[in-house]
Amino acid sequence: MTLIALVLLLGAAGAIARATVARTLPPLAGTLAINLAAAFLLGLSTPWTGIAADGFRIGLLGAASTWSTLANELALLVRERRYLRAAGYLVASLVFGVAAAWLGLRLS
Amino acid sequence: MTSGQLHSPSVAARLIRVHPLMLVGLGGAVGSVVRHIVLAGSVKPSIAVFLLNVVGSLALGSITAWLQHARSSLHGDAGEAKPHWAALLGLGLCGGLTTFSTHMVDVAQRLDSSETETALLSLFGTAAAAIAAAAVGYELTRRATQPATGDTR
Repeated sequence: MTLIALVLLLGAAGAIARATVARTLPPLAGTLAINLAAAFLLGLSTPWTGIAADGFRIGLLGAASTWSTLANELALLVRERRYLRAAGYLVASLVFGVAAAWLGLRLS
Repeated sequence: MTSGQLHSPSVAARLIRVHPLMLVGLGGAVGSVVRHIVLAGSVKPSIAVFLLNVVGSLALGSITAWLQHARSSLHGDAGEAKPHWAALLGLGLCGGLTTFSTHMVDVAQRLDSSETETALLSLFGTAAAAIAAAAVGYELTRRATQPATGDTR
C-alpha cells in the first residue's frame, strides 16, 4: 500500500518532469532526452533495494519515460511523409536507449 | 451536434482554471499506478510491458485525432480546453501508462545474457506495434469524427 502511494506521488513527479523537459527542448529532442536519461538511471538503479528504490524506478523513471509519445511522434512524422526524420528518430531512440540502459547496468 | 459538443464545454470550463502541469501530474499518477498494478500481477512482465506500451500508444493516437477534431469543430471553451485534455489524457495518462526505460533495461539485460533473438524481437516488435497502434488509433478516431467536421466546415 505504501508502494502504491509512492508510485502515485512519484508517477506524478515523473510525468511533470517529462512535460517540463518537453516544453524546454525542441519537440523530438525533449522525448529523446528524457527517455535516454530514464533508461540510463533505471539501469544504474537496478541493484538498489527497498521500497524507496521501487518507487523511484516504477513511479519516477517509469512515468518520466514514455513509449506512447515516441510512437505518436513517429506516426505523425510518417503521416507527414518525413520518412528520413522518422527513421533517424526511431534508430536514435532504440540504439541510444539500449546503450544508455546497458551503460547504466554496467556502472551499477 | 454530437454529445461531446454538448457536455465538454462545461467540463472544460472547470478544467480551464487548473494549470496543465497539474493535470499532467494527475494523469501520470493514475497511469503509473495502473502500470504498477498490471506489472505486479503479471506472470510475464516483458509481455505485460509490451501490451501496456501498445495500448498506451493506441490511446494516444486516438486522443490526438480526437483533440484535432475538437479544435477544428468547436470554438471558445472547448478550443481553449484542448491543452488541458492533452495534458491529462495524453502527456499524463498515456505517458504514465507506457514506459521506455523498463523496456530498454529489459532489452539490455537480455542482450547481456545472450538472449539476442528475444532482445531484438522485443526491441523491433515493440517499435513496430507501438507505431502501428498510434497510427491505427489516430486513423480510426479521425474517420469516426470526420463527418461532423465536414458538416461544420
